[in-house]
Amino acid sequence: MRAQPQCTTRGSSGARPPATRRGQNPPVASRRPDPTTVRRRVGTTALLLLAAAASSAAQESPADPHGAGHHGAPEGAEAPRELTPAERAEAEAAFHTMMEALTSPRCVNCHPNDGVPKQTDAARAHLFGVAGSDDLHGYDALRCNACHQASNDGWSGVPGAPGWSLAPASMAWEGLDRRAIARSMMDPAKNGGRSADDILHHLTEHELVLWAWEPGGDGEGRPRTPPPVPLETYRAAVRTWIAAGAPIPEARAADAPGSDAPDSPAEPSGDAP
Amino acid sequence: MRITFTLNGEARTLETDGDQPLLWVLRDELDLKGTKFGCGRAACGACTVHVDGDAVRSCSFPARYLEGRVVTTLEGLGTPEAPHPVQQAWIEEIVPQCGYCQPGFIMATAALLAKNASPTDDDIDRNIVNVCRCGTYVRMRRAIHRAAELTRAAAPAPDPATSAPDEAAEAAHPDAPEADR
Repeated sequence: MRAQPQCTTRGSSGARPPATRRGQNPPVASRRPDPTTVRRRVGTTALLLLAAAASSAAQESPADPHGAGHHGAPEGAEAPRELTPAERAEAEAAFHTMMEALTSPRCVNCHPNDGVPKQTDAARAHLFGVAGSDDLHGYDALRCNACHQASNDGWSGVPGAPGWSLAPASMAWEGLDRRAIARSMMDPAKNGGRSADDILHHLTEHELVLWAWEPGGDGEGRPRTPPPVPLETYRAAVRTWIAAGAPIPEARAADAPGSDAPDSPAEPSGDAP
Repeated sequence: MRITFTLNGEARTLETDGDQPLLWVLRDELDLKGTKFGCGRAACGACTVHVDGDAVRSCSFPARYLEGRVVTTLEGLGTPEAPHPVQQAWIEEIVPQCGYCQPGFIMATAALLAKNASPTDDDIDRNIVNVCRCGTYVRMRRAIHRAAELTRAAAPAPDPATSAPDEAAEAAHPDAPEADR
């Protein structure tokens, strides 16, 4: 309980009032939630085959902890097989396509480095002093599902998806660059013991992850910004990258979060001497 | 859609739009006016009710998720003859000013005390984030602590046969230091 309410400006700025009271709502069609609960799924069999192919290929090739051409495998991932230059280029392109999505606010906002979920494209701290708590689902009387249900709510503008919660602290992405995120993502010590196949499934099938592409609109009816990569392009990129052994390409200045530093100071490059 | 759920201890079945917020199901379809409309954006907490024991902002809870759930509103929390400890504390501390937001605070506090009967000020700050435009926060904080006292007092005494038997045995052990006896 705070004597200074943190959310008192909504509806008081002269903009249109909250459109939630009965009789004041916009037409039903415009206030209905987006159809987020039904998502297209790619065939699980195809994913398993791809993952199996990646695993098999990795086993057939000599392990190269640093990868050819300074391309390193994330800790805990299958050691990458020797890639041809064309395959390497394809995997690198896929890596960056995937990361274009994963570094968007729709993803990073719930992978904070301080236990505080973020909101909006500006990634400001969640209203009401919300933080993750021990179980990542909020506090005793302020669970995430106090407001966030299993789908976006078209009336209130509150986003929702099954299992709405924060990522664990070990999976903090906020402030990390693409390479550090990839290493964290593929490290079983940090990712909850997930295998590459598990990560493939998580990144391409998990409903909470896929919410990013159908994020609904806010309380003013303004649509949230989805990741800058179309969902199917992103999914194909994830499959390609993991099938290639999840190689992490060399740092590029343009990949640093919010700056043009070559790599994250919080997570030194695994390729560094 | 047809929805069956438990409301304040009674089974209810109704036909409603699955997108309809629980708030309006309660107020307009079931005529339970204790739950208030505040901001309509899950921000102020005036519409807080309990769903399966958890505090929920009913303005952002679509009716389709009600199926099989247990909902408690202010009307189901206590009675004038037997108020809930939170309601009793609210009366004792004369908390409300205009009173409009109070049902949400009371429901949020009841949900907190059900899980933590000895909340610290930090616990209260983290959990009770509703908004009161009259600024009754100081009285509410007092009332929350008072409600916690009432809750603890109302809790059944621990059964020595089933709770902390080792501790009881140790306290009674003749070899225990005198200070422990």
